[in-house]
Amino acid sequence: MNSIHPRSLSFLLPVGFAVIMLLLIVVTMTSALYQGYSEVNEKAKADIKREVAKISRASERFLLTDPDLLEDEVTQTRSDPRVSFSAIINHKDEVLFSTNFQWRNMSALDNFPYYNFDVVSKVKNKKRANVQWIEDKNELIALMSFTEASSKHVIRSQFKGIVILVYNLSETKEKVFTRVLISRSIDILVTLLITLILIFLVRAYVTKPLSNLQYAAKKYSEGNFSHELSLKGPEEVSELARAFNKMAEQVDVYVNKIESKNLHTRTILENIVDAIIAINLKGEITSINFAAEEMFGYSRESILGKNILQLMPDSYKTAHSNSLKNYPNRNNKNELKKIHEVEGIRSNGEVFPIELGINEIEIDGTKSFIGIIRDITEKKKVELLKNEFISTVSHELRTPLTALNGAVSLIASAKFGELNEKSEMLIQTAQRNGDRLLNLINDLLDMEKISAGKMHFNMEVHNLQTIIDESLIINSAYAKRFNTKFNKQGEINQLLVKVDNQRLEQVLSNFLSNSCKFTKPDTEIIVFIDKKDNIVRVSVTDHGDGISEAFKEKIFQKFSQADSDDNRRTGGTGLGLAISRELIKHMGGQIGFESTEGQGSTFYFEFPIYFPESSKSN
Amino acid sequence: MKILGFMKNQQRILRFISGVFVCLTISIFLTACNQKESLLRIASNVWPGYELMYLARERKYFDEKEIRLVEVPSATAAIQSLAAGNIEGAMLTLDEVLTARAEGLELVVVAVLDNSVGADVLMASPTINDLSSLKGKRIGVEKSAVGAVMLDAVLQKAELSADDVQLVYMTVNKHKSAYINKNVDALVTFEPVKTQVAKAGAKLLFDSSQIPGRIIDVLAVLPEAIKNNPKAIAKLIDSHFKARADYMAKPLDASIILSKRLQINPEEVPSSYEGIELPGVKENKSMLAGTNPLLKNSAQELVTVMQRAKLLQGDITLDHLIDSAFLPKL
Repeated sequence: MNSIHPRSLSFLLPVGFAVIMLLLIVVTMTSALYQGYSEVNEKAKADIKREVAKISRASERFLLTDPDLLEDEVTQTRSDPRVSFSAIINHKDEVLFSTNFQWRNMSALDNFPYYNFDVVSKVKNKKRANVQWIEDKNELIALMSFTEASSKHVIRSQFKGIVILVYNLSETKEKVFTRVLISRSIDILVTLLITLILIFLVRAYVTKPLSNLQYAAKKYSEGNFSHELSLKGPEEVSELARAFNKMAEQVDVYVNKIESKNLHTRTILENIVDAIIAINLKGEITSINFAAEEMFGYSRESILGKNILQLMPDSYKTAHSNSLKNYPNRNNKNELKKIHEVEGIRSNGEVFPIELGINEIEIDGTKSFIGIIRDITEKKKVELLKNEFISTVSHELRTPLTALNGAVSLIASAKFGELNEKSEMLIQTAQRNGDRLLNLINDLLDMEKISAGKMHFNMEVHNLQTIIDESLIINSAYAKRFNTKFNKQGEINQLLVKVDNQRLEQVLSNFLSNSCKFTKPDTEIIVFIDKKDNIVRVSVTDHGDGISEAFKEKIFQKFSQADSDDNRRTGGTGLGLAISRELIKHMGGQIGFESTEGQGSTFYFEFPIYFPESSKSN
Repeated sequence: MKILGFMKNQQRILRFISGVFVCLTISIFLTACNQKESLLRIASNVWPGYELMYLARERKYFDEKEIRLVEVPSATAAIQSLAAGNIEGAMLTLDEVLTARAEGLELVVVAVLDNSVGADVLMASPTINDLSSLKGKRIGVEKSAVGAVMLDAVLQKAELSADDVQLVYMTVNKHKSAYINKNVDALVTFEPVKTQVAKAGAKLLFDSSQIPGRIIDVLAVLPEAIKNNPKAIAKLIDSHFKARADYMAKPLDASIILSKRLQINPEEVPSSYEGIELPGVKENKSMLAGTNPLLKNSAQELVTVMQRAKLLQGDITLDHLIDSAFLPKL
């Protein structure tokens, strides 16, 4: 809308008008000129014919009788501004009278450019004026013959003289031109005046309101909505202004709505207890909330744009970088959604435990990760206290329980006299429940030890065969109780593994006892030893009801049992498999199971086979 | 800021267009004012005193588109043209101007072209020895004031009356042939006829040097011309003086041009200027300018002579007879 620009409306409209008007003026001027010129020409042609005829007639009558009058007649022609010259020439081509005195008695052929034999003979043969038009010189030449009286006595002479009259019309035409120009000048002035008025009008009624609109639009774009646009101006412009005002009002409303919604969301995010940190694919922190600032001890300004590595201890950095680098190639993205227990580092260098949940989000085609972080320092402390409590309690319970069990065993062995049938039954009940309680306490203590990291493993190279055989012997009595027996299958040729034999026996016993409990009576429990590459797998398969799909996920969790009935029927703590998993893991093995509901279950563990050579090289 | 700039540009454009408007108005106004004057047409017959104008024309001292010299056979024809309104001015003798004024043609004298101090003459055939011998003789004379003035002076000197001689009135272009054909015995005439008849044996008995200031040639224009063609008049007078200076400086060069219209040989031209005084700008000023210019006195004397010769009827006013405004500055 810069008006110095030749394309601005306030310039184009009036100037366009002026150009059209000026063109019109030029056209009318040209036609007026053409008309003026042709009028001049027509009049000159008529005049020259009349004048030349007049002089010719006078020449015939007065050449002898009154030559003064004739001379007067010729010289007077010069008072007509158009007349260039005129002359009366006798039959000998001598100038008798002329507008130029000095040509008198001279030869017309020598002095007059338009006077030559051809023309003269042509003119002399007819009684009419010969008029020529010399376009480039703007000259009109008229010649006319007259009968030259030679003597008063001769009535009719055969001699013929010539009258020549020359008009030059350039001056007259110049005057016509000037006159037309001046008359058109008034038109030009009026056009310019109208142009000026138009410029004022366009400026006042179009350009100015439009420029106000532009100014307002600029203000609006800068976020200033308070500017109310004036509705002055022509219909179209005021309509535009009205529409603009309405639009601005609407935009104002929407912006307010969005802002309040934004504020709402931001308030929630800022007041949430968990820290929320967003990073981009390069690992740079793009936003954090207030809780995150508090948790890590950085101000928002100081941490935004920094890499997330700054918030994690060195031990996690490599893993994080790798996973971030490989992320786009990974298929299983659900892994992200799991909550991990990891560690963070505060600005003061303090390392603290956190729970971290990561989610991938995509906004406007840009991928980023949102991390929700919970400080679990307190939770960990409580857990520790609890574990210590359990450990203490268990220890305190075990000592008297051992004494109790010993006493009950002695009574049951009848070393101190035979018991009657009723007493024996009661003692057996006491003995059974005492054993069970002791098992429970032992399991609890094991679990406690494992989770506190206090479990000691005596890792040595053992023959796997021996461990399996001993376990089968120990548990064969238990199998008999459930009317089942063990069937060992598979190849075993001096297979060595590096384990704690006590703990591996504990795991195997757990598998075997579980199988005895769940297999249907009078079915065999298959103990299968399989070797593949350098891995040996020992599996225990029962023929029970199998594990339900719903339970499969929880099977290795603490205190997990398929249903409440199980506990009563089979009598277990629900810690066995959890302990087994931890034990196998700690010894460097793998644990797992396969089960089809209604057909039984197979639990297995795997260990790398130990070769004496490899131990040497190690 | 942008609004401010916008308004500034607007003002600049407006100022520009207004400027163009004003300029155009002024230029059109000036063109209208500067419009060429209409053609100034000045008539004259052939007379050495007038010929400097033709010299000026040949040397293009003025634009023929603005000023046109109309070559007429006689002063009578010039006055007729003036009366008819076909021309704006003429080169005339002062008495002709006065006659014209008496007849209602308010001619104004704007320059004195020459002063006859011997150019106007009485030429007589060799048989007539002195002025007194003119008694009963045929004297050819133009029916003009100059003729009357000369005749008046001759008769006074000869102590004769008008009845003592036979007057044959004829225009100057007939003088030569009338003398040669012996239709007249004497001629009251002037150059170039003087030289022409002198060749045929005529003798000079009287000339205008004996009546100084009585026969004056002037440039006279109509009052309308003073109003409509002031520039052209000034230009014409200026050109006359330039030609005069040319003639004074190099008379031979000028004579070649002058001889053509005078219809004599170039070497004869200087002699035709004998007896003619060509007043310059200074002399013109003294004759025309001032509250009581000399020309006015001459005119007054002339009026007396002309009235006596019955060449002027009734009263004649000499108001606005002279306008010295067109004379060039000294």
